[in-house]
Amino acid sequence: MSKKMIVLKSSEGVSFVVEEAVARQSKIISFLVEEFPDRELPLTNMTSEILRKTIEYCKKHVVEDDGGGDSSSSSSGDLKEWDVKFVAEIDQPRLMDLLMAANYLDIPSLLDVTCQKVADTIAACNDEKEIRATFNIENDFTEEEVEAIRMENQYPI
Amino acid sequence: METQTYLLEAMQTEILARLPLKTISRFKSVCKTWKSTLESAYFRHLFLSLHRNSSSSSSSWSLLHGADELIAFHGCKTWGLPKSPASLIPHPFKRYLCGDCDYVDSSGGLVLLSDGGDESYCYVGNPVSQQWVKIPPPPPSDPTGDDADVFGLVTRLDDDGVVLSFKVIRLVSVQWTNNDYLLGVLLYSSETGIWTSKVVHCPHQITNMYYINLNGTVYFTCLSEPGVLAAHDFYSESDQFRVVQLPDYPDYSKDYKRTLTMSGGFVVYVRSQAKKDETVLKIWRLDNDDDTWQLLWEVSLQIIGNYAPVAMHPFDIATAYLWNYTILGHQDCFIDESVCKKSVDEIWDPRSLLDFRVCIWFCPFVMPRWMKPVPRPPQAEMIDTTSLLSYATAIH
Repeated sequence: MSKKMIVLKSSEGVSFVVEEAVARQSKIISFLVEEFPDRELPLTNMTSEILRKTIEYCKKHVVEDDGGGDSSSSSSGDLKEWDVKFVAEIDQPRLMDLLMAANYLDIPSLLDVTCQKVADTIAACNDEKEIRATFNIENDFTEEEVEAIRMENQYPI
Repeated sequence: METQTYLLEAMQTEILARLPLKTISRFKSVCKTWKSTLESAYFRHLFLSLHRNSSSSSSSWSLLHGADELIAFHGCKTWGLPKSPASLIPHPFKRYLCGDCDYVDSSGGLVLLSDGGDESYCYVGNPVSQQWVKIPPPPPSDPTGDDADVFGLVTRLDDDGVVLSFKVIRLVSVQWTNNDYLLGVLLYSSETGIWTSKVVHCPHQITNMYYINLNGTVYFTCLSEPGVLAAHDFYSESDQFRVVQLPDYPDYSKDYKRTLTMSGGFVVYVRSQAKKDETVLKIWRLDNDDDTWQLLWEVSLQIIGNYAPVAMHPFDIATAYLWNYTILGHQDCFIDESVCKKSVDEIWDPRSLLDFRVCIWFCPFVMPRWMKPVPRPPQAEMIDTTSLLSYATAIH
């Protein structure tokens, strides 16, 4: 039996043909293919680049059903390692786009790894000034307020 | 850059909930939206649910025997500590029941230190946040207060295991008359900031004061009556110890090695028995509501020799630690083998009289799953670790 395929269309109008099992890791797509079985799905807020990355992630994480019960295509240790490499290779703006894609398409595991990667970037900042610079956040505290917060939350270790 | 700011705002809670606790408190000063996110109830809920999934790898704790650290976990995602929790306890105090400044007890991630140089003071605090409460001496009107030993610390916890309040216990007197054992104590409550006295009755003599504490209750295992333990909730109005029969009594073999410890918010009784070609491990959990025991595990391990239970994982009830191998779980912790050997050999020496007792000499010092400031009692002075250490060095 041939595998069922579906078509995902990026904001630039590029079509990606993927196995349904791969795309179904997105809860949104999973819902849509049941409602509209024979249509291609336009993803107007996702660029081809981000869609390609998302599909790459889903392909790696698809659980293959060979009829002999569920078996993951890779062991969980290998997958974790692959995830770390996957997000490490993406630059900051694209990582943010991918994070939003994971949120929009509702792919919990991809959301987790991308959020974790951003969190790691935040944790690596030395102080709040570095965070503000990295993420372009405006400081809306007065000097006194910052000092008061610092006094309350001292963690010198 | 614009999109980045927008994205951070949209996904702020999801991202920030993946930071370690240590960092969370540090970055409240980034901007107002971050501060309100980090302090919201929703954020706490999300943080706890994300970290609960991988319970055994998301905790930081040390197992202490006196001042010696037997097992140390610190690399967890929840806290992100650079060192083990026990090593963060201020050094001059890290001497256990010998010497002037003593580490007395820990409960709910808080530590109680007694100040030997000035007996009337003691300190309760969080070694990670380095916030300490200077506990005032008992009122001079109480003639017994002066030489009442700083004995223990109990805490009231919420559903997530986070400290709501604490009580410091000073031991005033012990008396044994007409089959009535009287334990006289002074209690300092973080809610009222005052000392009150209490006498608790036990039908059996407590022969050894080693104990464990969990959610306000203290458990003693060494009593004049075999096969029972005595428990008292220092937050209750009661003046009686509850006597709880051990689940395996009167079954007894000299090959049993037994310990009372804590895991997953419950008191746990662990027993190992060396057989000819295997070791049998049984683990019971004490039900909080009706003091009944539930047998959780009965496993035969293909290991031969004198294996003694030393601890359970504080959050993962499926991980037990036996000297001298880690079993049923993780290998990714630091274990000081020489310290283990020394302390375990001492306690379970075949010639030792202690062999017949339930051991609770190993004290876990566990970081909670969420961080809150140390409860501040009315009128009490809050100090940081630098001031604490300056008191200590001034005295010695």
